[in-house]
Amino acid sequence: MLNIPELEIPAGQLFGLVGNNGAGKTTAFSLLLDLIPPDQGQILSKGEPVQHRENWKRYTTAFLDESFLMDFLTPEEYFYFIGDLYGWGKPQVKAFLEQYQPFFNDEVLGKRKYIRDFSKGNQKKIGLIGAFIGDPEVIILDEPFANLDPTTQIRFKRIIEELESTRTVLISSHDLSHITEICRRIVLLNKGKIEKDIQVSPSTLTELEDYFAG
Amino acid sequence: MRVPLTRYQWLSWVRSPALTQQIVQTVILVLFGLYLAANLVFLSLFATKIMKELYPQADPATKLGGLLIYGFFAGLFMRILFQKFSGLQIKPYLLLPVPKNKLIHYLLRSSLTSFFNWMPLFILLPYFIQDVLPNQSTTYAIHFLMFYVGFVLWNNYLAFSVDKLFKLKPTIAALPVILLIAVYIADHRGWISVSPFLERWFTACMQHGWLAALPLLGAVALYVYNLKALGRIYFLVDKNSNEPVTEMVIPSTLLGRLGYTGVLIGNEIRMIWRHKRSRSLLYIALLMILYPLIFMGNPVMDYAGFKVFLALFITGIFALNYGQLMLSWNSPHFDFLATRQVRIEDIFRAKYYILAGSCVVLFLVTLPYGWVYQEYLPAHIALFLYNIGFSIYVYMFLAAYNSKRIDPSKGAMMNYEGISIAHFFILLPLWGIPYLLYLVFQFLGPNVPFLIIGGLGMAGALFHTSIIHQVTKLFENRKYPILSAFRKKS
Repeated sequence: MLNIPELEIPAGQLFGLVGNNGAGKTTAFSLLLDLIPPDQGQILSKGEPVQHRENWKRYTTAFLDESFLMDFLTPEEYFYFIGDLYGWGKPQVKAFLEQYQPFFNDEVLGKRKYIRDFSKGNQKKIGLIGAFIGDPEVIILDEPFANLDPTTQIRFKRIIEELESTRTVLISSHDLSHITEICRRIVLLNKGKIEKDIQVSPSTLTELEDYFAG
Repeated sequence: MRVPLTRYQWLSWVRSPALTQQIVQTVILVLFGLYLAANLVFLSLFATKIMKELYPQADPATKLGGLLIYGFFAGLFMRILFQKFSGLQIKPYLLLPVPKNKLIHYLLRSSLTSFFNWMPLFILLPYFIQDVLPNQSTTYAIHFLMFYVGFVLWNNYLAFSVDKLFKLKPTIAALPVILLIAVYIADHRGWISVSPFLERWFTACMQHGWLAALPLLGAVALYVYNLKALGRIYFLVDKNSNEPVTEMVIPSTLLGRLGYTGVLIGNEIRMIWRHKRSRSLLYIALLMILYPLIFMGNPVMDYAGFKVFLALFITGIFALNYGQLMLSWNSPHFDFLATRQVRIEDIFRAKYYILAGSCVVLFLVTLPYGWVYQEYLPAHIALFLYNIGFSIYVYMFLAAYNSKRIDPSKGAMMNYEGISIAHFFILLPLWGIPYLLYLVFQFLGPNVPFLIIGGLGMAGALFHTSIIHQVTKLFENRKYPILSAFRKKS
């Protein structure tokens, strides 16, 4: 059960969501993406309801779990498919992927393998980069650091930090140090309720650690 | 220590989230099995009579003996294509202190309970009790039983080895079936003579015990071989299990004109080819193309009701098999489609073009039957139109009300994942309507019913854009239940 009276996320914010299992992080993201309906209230994106509308899909992308991958495609085919949805031709997608070569670390592109045959970590890399195609204004990522190796986690933080300031990124994570490092604002959920809403400062990490230590 | 493997298997079944669905499927399957068994028992009891009728000069027992060998070979190839040997997922037990041999013994033994082993018994035993026991010598009876039961076991374990050890591509596995059908037809027409050879083989088996025992010995040898070979290959982690990628160049000029729909069609074609279950549907369609060859020259071809059903299934078999699961094929990645800029209407349109396309291809490939049997041609054309202008919409309607998650990487045979009771309630009238129209309008002239069925289909096909638009609306109201059903793994 998620019970949020009101929560506004301004454009361009790097927004983090933390909380223990069952706090409602994934539920919150699923609501934003209209995957489940709210029992009461509504979700507005750019002032327009998300439910029964299609407009928000033009500028919103997400990677929550493996159901956002098409596992029978190769990574390249998957990226081209996403590109097609936004009118990006193959050359454009190719050039776009070029900048993420270090992130992929030679383990993803040109492997001639279906996504279903990749390891969990590499599948995650594919899904995350897939969410950047199409110049989205809002990017929603559930647990992006889980399953990534340490090097890739650090590279991923850099990718988020280097995004244009106009993009709104919503991230949930159990990794308190990563999330305090990249997010400007952190909301702490507990059993479906907002416990804290913090503008990140150097003391935030300690504050969160104290909270979770109980 | 005793490990109750059978009990765990039972628990995994009872505690599955899709239990009611599984119960319904099992009941339907059992009913279907009983129906089939009843047919086989009937055939078995009348076998001698049928043989006498068909081959008045030959000895019915020998004739039947040869035919049974044919049937058992067909059974073997069908098993290789379709029999599932999953039984128990033994991986979770590999870490526990259970001897590996015990697990493999269990796998090998539990494979005997398959439907494919029961069916031959239904055809063998009634004949054996009614005709063999009273009329033949004891030696003959013993040899007969040993030979055919041995054959069943041999088939079972050979199919088991092929499934577990060789991982044949269905393309290759389907070849023997087609070859066997070709041999049978050639034999039947008298171009080659295989049946005399099989009959001699049968007679020799009835005379010499060692010959009759060969299949049984082979089955034992295969059992031991499987035991040894599986012990070597069953480990916790599969090494090098990567499937080679099939490159597919989708003609972009053609699909480019369709915009998003074209992109989705390209993707869907990849999906069909690269998932085991959908790919086996292509082979089923291929077998269906050959099906009428069996009835060549048979008076049943003249029976109009038969023509209706034949044409319905021959042009629409793929659309039926693939279309009845419509969106369930996309269930593993449906959250992705639902949150991206993909309109559900475009998805349905892509599905329509693929299903209708399959009907067009099957229609054209089987058109020569219409040249040979000109009385069949009107049915062929009319039911093709009925499929593209009516059946497909029924499948879409079904998808809006009945969507279940499926795992498309499992094989198609005996796989009823995603199929529910609703399918039967909706598909039976779908098949009944053209037959009913035929019965009602045949009095106005032999081709009038086909004009009506074809006209209905033609109208439906012409208005596909607006019909799909309406179906989409229906689906949009059911979006959340479907999304949540697609997230439930059974």
